[in-house]
Amino acid sequence: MIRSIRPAATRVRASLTPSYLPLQTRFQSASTHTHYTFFPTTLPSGPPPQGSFSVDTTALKREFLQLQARAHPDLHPPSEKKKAQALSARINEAYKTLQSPLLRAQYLLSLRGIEVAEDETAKVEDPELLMEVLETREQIEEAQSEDDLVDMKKVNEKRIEESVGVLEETFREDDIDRAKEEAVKLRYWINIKESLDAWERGKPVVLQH
Amino acid sequence: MFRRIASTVPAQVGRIAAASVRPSIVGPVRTAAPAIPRDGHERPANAPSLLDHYNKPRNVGSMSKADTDVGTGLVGAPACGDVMKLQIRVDPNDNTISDVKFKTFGCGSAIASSSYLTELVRGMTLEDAAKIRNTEIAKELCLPPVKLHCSMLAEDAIKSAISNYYTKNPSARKTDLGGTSAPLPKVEIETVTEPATATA
Repeated sequence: MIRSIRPAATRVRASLTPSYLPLQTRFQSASTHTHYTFFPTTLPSGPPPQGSFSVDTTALKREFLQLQARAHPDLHPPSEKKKAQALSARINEAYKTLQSPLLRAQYLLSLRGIEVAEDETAKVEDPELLMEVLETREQIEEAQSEDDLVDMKKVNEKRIEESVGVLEETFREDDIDRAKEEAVKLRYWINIKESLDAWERGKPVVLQH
Repeated sequence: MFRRIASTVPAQVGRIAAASVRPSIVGPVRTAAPAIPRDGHERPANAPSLLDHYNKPRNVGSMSKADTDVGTGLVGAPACGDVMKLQIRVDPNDNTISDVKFKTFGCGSAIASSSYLTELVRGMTLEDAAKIRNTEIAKELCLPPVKLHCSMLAEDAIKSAISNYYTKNPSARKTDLGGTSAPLPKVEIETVTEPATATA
């Protein structure tokens, strides 16, 4: 389900977009344009290590809605509709990416040339992680009722929380290798969360992506 | 062949004809080439193999990790968050795989890849099983390019299981070497690291 995020392409598109919109001027610094650039109020310091990894998602949502209210394609003349649509789509993409810790981490890594979500030949070099994932998956499989999941959900929420904490720290310290490892872990915890949320009795665990 | 013709025809027709005419033209083309499903994704002609392994996965289960004749491979794909466990039971007399079980938590292609792999390696010698390439699996199941990594995961799983078995039974490999080369420690080290280099 993870959409590929290619910062290079985004940057090219950004530099090609003509400044036809009043808001466009703000997005013109093509070379440093990131998803963060769309949200100067919520994320004034930009991506880590300058800004923090954590994001105030409520403020982000507010700013996103304000942005979209101005960028909405219907508000622009037909000649500029396509461009407005493109901009609107980019704002959507930026918001979608930044509001999710996993997508945000993957995006930040991709800005550093590390494609966690893209590199399909990559391997998990952490047997303990795999063991924990496998055991949790087996537990989910063996669950008989929703009640059996309550504790598992709590444990998993804690894992996600810890993972986000580690990402916060590693991005602050600009420790990209550790951030990458942690992003892989978070990928697994998020998948488990999805399975826990979508659990139905007797339904096999098949991931959708 | 059919697929190629059919997929280009509607595109050209669409360009010429107005959108409202399209459904009536697309209709007959679809009946002629059912290979193109409505969602627009190409489905290979012999995909039943994939679906069959996905719907009725073979050899799902676990063996006791503690058994000395069992090799366990546990691998994961960080890109999608899949995890695959493959276990082989080895007959020490002839180094063949007598039993094999797997458990995969991942997408349908990963499940089908590991299921097919279990059928493939049963009865094989460890040596032959280590030579299996992901392309064999991908070809049999007609995996689309975006799902090739699922077959790679299966290849890694069998390699990892074999290497685990050798770690538990170092003598199994030594016997192999006995016939072909002198038992120099250096040779042994090289051979032990072999699965890792082959995987990379």
